[in-house]
Amino acid sequence: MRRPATFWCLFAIWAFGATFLFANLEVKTDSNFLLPRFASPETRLVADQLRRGPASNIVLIGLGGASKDALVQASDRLTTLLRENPDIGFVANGRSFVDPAAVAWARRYRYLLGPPLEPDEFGAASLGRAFKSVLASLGTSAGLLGEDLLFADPTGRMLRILAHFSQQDAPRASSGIWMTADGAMATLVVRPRFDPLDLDGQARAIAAIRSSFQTVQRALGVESQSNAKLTMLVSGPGVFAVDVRAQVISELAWISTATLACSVLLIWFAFRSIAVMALLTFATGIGLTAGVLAVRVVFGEVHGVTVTFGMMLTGLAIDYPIHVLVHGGNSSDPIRGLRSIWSTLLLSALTTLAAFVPFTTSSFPGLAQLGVVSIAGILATFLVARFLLPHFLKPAHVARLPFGNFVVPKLSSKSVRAVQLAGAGIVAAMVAWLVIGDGKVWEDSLANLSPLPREQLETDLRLRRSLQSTNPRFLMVVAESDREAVLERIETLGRRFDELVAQKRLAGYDSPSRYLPSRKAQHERKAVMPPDGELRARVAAALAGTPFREGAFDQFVADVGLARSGDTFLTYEAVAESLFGVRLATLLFRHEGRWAGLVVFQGETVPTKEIEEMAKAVGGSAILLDLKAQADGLLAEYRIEALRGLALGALLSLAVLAIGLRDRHLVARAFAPVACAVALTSVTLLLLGIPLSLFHLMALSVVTGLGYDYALFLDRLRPGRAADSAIAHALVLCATTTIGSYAILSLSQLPILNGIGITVAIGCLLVLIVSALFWLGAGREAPK
Amino acid sequence: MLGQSLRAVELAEAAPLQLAELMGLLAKQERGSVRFRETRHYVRLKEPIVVIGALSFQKPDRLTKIVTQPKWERVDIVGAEASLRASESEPARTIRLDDVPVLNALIVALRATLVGDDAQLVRMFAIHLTGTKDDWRLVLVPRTAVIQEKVAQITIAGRGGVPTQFALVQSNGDRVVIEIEP
Repeated sequence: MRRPATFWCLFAIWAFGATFLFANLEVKTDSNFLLPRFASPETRLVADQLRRGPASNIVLIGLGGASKDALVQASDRLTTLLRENPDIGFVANGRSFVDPAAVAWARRYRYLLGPPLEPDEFGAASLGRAFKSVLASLGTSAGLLGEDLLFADPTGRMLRILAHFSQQDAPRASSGIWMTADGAMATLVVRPRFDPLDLDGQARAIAAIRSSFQTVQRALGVESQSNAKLTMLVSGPGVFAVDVRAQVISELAWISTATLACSVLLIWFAFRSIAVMALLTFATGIGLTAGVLAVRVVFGEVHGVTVTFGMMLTGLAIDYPIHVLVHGGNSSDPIRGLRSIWSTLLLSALTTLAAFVPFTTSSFPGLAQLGVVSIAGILATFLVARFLLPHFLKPAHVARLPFGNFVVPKLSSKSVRAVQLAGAGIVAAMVAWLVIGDGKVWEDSLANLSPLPREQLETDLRLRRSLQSTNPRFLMVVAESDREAVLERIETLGRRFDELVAQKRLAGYDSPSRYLPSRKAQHERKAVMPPDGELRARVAAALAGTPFREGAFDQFVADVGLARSGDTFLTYEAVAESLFGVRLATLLFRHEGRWAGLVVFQGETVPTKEIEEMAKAVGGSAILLDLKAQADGLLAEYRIEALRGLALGALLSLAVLAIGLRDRHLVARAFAPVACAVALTSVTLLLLGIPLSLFHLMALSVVTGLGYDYALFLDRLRPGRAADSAIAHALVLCATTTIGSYAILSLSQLPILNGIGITVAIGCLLVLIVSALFWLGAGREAPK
Repeated sequence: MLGQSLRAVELAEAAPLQLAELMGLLAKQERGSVRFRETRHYVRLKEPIVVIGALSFQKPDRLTKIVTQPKWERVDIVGAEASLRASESEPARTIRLDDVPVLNALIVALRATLVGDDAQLVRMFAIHLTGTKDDWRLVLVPRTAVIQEKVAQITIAGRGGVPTQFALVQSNGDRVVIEIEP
């Protein structure tokens, strides 16, 4: 190595800087980065609220693998155990669970909440009827221990409140607990006592559920051998987030390690030199550091998947320092020896960079970061290779070229023709098979873009169906400048919707008004309640001639008086502290300085036209959303975006090529094999049963970029010349590191990494083979 | 008055009844069905309400109460669940006794007495037994505060292995007396 002191000094500066950067880097592991995102702001608002809002803070549990009786027992025992657990806020398994605090809350606000008060709710006639029914009830079971409530609430308001809050579409209970329709699984809902975004808390709650389950399993196993096979499935947004985090962290670790190990082994085999290793580590290390730093600056945060991708990318970026080392190190004067390849190297770097440009503009949150880490990483590595490395190369630094004669096959023109014909035949057969077969070409499920295994999503859907907690299809968003305006608007709309429900044209709906009437509505209710003295007189009149003693209904008079008093209002805060707090926070929340309210419609079909007309008549900003249509539309949008991205990448790299080569024939010679290879890669993916998604199509853009790289260097190859061994050696080494890195990436379970990995690995291999065939076919036969 | 003094004489002669002995007597009953008359004295009502019907019990834990007056009603208690039917055409409403501690205390008092399960009684109530084999009186006072809030005491009287009267005194002053017709 020349100027070793300078080199090691720079190396130390980089090592120190990189250590500082990575030590202070908070690597994100959230799953939202890896999930599709809606383009329309309203849909995104709703999707986020459903996915990350307060109501998403649930864990769904399914118990199976045992007899029905054992499942009932297990469900009850698990419920009891979890209710005692400090990490768990709420547990339900289908048993009626009367929470005294919730009853007291509903009792306190019963005249301000729920269905409207009748105009004569407290009139003499209705009081007379009410007292008569109390007398009748005193002779039934209700009169045995519940008579205090009968006297405090003679008009039966509490029953109407309970009916108002009971779920219209309650989950199916069997043997007293919730079970799936086939009876194979008992289901439970648990709400962790942690914020949904607090993944450590979520993980703790999930661990508590698992350990409680083991306790139940042991206890039941002791009682009966057949119960020992009891199994538990857990699902829900928290479980998903925790699983994805674990996967992101584990993949970051093993993909980085595997890429590093393979590169080091390969480089050692190729060069057997510590100095070369140090130079390559320096160049790619700077690339990785620059990539991560760029992402940090552009996005303000770095995701674990981005770091994994950046690590893998060193296998691609290493191409430039390898070319420099091989061509410069092989020459007696490195700087002069490199002069002949600068233009090719620059062109190949620019075509590769162009291929990553479409990533940066993607609407899929993760792809943009991958684009930035790639562009910055490749650019930095290229600059180091171009401007720093040559100064540290000694003449004839690299003497061994073990791959030098690897790609120069000794073929006659006849056999070249035969190979090309065979290749064309294979391509024709593949296309034919694809056309005849009925395999799908485009990815048609959003679930396949999500990092969660299909199996887990199916479990989730099964549990949700049994708990009647599938995500709604139709929603209405009402946004206003303040909370009361939202509530009033929804109350007005609600009266129209109630008519649709009465006509059985709407299955039902849920809205914030169900839990919190507007101030205006509360004032209207208070106006129906008579003043204390008047109510007292009406009660006394109604009591005349009945067996009730005077003062029997004093509690009732006091309760109405309290509800009527100017100090008693049901507030957002009062609901927030109640059992309905989570529901209200989901349906009514602050968003970008405004208040938003959601009306959630039940069922798969609603009279959309009429609802939209109603919304228009009421005025304000009420928007009806069809989430299913939006999700279907998202796939189509992604397809268009991906095709546009692929076209953009291909055009950009072609433009770079055209400007760089300024020769139509040369451009055509580089373009033809790349275009063939890209088409062939798509066909190969489809034949492997992989429908093309956003990730695959974007990765095809990378294949074009790399393809030009190989085609350009291959085009320089003139068999028989001394320098060609170097080109061949470098080319084989570069292709191996790149293909190897992407092949490792294709082992990832995350669709974004897996999709890109498999496409680029296959694409690179094919582009190399096709380019070689074109090169041979161009008449440059092997030396005799 | 006369009856009382006669009983006092008998008491002086007979040895005081022990709880274990009473439980033994009660445990001999396998099953039974009796008519009952329940008088409910509500503090807030000038006159009591009378409820008439039939009670049946089958070992180990099935208790059925069918009310015929003033309004038909049927309550079936099996194990830890009670199902209630307000009319013959309506479906039953099921509740778990664990969810309603006060009702549970009442059912435990009744059922444990009928099967002679003293362990369960002792767990939930402070017990005071007076009288003889032929005329005994069991006073149960709830041990937990939640139940004391509603139930002041339960009194069960009987002759030999057959209870004849259950009385419930609620903490608000209401009283319910169930007399078993011979």
